[in-house]
Amino acid sequence: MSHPLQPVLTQLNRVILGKEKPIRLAVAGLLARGHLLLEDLPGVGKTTLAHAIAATLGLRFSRVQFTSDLLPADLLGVSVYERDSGRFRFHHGPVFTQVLLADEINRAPPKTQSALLEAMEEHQVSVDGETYALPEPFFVIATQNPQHQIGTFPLPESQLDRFLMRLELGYPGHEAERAMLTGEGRRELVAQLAPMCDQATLANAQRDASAIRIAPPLLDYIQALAAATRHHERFACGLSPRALIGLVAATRAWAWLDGRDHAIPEDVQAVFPAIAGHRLLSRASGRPDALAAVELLDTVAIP
Amino acid sequence: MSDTLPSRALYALIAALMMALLPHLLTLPPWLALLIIAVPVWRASLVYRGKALPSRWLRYALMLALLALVFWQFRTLIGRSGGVAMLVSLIAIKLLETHGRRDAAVLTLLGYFASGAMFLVSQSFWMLLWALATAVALTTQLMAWQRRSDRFERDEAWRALRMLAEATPVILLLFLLFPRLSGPLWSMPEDRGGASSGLSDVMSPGSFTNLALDDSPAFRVSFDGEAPPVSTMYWRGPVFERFDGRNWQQLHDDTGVRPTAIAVGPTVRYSMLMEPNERSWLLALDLPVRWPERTRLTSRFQLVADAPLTQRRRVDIVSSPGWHAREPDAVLRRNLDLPASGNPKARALARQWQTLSAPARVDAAQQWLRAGRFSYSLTPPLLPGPDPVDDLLFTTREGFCEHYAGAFVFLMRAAGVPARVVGGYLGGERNAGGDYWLVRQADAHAWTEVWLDDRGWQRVDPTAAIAPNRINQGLAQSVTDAARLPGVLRNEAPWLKGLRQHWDATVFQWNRWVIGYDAQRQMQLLNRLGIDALASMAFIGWFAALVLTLLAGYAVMQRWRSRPPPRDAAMRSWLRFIAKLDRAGIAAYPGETPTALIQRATGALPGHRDALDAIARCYLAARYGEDHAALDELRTRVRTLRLSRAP
Repeated sequence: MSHPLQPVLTQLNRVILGKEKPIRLAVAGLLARGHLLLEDLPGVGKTTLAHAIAATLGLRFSRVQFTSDLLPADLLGVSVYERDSGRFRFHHGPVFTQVLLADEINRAPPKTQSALLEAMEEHQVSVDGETYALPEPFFVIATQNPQHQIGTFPLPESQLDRFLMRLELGYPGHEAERAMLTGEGRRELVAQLAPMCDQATLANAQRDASAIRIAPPLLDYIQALAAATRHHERFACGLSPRALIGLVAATRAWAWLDGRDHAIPEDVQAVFPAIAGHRLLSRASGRPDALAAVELLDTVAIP
Repeated sequence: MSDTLPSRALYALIAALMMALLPHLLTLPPWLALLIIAVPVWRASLVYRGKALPSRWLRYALMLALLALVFWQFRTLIGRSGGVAMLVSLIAIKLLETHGRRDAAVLTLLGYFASGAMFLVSQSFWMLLWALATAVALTTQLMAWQRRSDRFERDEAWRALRMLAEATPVILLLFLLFPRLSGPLWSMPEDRGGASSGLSDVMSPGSFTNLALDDSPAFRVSFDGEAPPVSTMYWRGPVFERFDGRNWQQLHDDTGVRPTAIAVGPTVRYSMLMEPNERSWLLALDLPVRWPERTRLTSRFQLVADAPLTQRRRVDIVSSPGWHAREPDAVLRRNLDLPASGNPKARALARQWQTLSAPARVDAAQQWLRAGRFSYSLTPPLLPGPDPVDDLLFTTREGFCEHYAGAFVFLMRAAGVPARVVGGYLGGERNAGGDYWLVRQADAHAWTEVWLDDRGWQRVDPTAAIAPNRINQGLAQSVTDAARLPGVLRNEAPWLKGLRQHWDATVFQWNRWVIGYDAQRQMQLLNRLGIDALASMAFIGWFAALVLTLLAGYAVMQRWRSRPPPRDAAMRSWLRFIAKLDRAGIAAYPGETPTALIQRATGALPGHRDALDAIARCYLAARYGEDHAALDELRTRVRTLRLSRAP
């Protein structure tokens, strides 16, 4: 059951109390080289979690507070004319980092949101016809408030699809909340965090996780789940192939975190809601229908 | 862009390529080699300083410039030197546009090719070691970047070594069995111009003296059984019969009448490993009675190959030291020919012996030489006058073997005894460790044969009369100015000599068994293995069939090993288990995972906890982990499971 990232999980659980499952999912998402979307009410610890992940993994971190007047150039960088040399020089924006915390991403206008598209998918940024590679690894951890709040621009489906997982933290449990109230402040705690792994360990973990065996019956199950979403009367559209690829990768990462060399149906069920929840939009409301995604797991037989 | 090679992988690639190119670079002119090396070094420095690759136009310009220089140097872009120079240049230039894995794969393949082509440069044992090291380096860096990881772990080099070790049986099998053609498959456009050393087909004053300074090996000999005494090891080369007053030449016209030779007495059996040269002469002991294919014995009893010995060749020969011959009269008359005039003193001397019998004339001449205070020297004075034989015999009295052999034959012919000069090598250095003899160019020697009617051709070595030490103790002990000889031919420290002989023995065995393994020896080996009557096409066919069968067998074995378990075996056992659970009152839900089901079942049937947990574990491992052992255990456990009814 032991793996090189166990210290990472332990430390994260010390900072964010009582949230083992979302934390494990977040780490699995990063192992699967995916981006994370943390969605919950203000004040439940989204930003703290993002910050703690970056600090614990020992990655370079930058944070951008998305606001309604944030422009793409504020994020990506801008070419500035330099009088001395007589040419334009590109000034790198905050996106050139390893973990980008896009805080309250749904407060920025769609133009700025989609500026992130290329960075997330291609790990590169194109400005003024020039392409700049981003550092590796590159993760976006975005937080957003629930969409019924005032002054938000809901992320378009294309943008949502690029987030491997959407996680909710929820209110803490009684004990955990009490510990939080009596203990040290969370922000101070984050500031003191020491890296619990280096980049080589992370890269190796990612490589090993991607080599976990997925037997044909399990792929049958994953495809059966996808087929169920695509023919379901409650969803406007089913899971995309990209989502399935992400599902397979996350399943492997989950199995790896469990210390196995092969994936089993539990792994699929564990990661499925986080992967499918934000992608399956309700036909009726046009909003993500996370509950229906969970219900699918009970109805689709495991072959 | 994610395809970009990590910088350390690029360094490793450059280093491995440099290893592959090094032997080729050493054959190029130094300025060209340095120019070509500069390209990878520049590329590595670009990586180090994080600079971008040069622009496409610069790369094209560089490529054209390099190729132009190669062409300017070699006047061609094909052939051995030009072609290799072009390949090496192109590999270097290719590095300048390499940043991704695809380019690296191309370069790695080119590196393997270049390391194979190393054997065009040399087939020495060192080259084999270098080629193997290069293969390991190339494989190591290939595995490193194929793993898409920037980390170089020691196990990659180990794995490359292990792969090489695993491939060794295949290498050996192919070496032994791969059909060898008796001639070269294609003729390599050979560059002429390398100064060739060795015996020349004209004997002029100085031709052997120059060879005496050359310590390179001419051939090595290992005897089957006892070696003959070193003083009788006359390795016969060209026979010089025509004298033009200064030079001795071979006669190539055949009289059409073959001499008859009769071998008597015991024979000597030996195997010679000839170093490559431009001649086709095989230096056999007198008189060869059995020789390999593609060689023949000339009417002058010289053994020659059908083609020049451009590669090392091993020949097995049987000789009979005791022999006599019967020659046609035309040949004997020719061996009395002298220029119409010149050398009056020598002629006058020979006339004094004309009253004696032929054997007595030979003895008289040897006696005269022995008494004449002649000296044996590497640096005799030049004899530019019109009567060189007179000048040697009566004025300078200083010469080397070719001088005395020529003069002796002159005297014999003038005295009416048919005689001729024989070129070749004398003696050799015994390598005790390897039990063989090393004959160097410096052992080149010229002696004579005289014709005695009742005994045939008799070997007479005038050098024996002048410097007897030459015959049984070698050159360094016989010449007056031994200091001019190269070091190894003079007195060496014993430990140095031991070391050198040891190394030479290794080289000898390598050349004898690896380089000398040719089509004929392959046939012999196969015959010994019971594969005979080889029509070679049929053999190639059988060989190909064998290889294909082995490969197919290997593929089948691999598939069998990695076969998935029978698709539904685990599932069938599981369904039987579900049925048992159902009878016990616990029904499975469609989307319920095995673990969840077992948890529910153990809640209802706590007495069966262990059995149920084991079944779940086995099922998951067998179905999703494709574990055969778990499948067997699952079957047993499900079959033997007896559930009590749930409350």
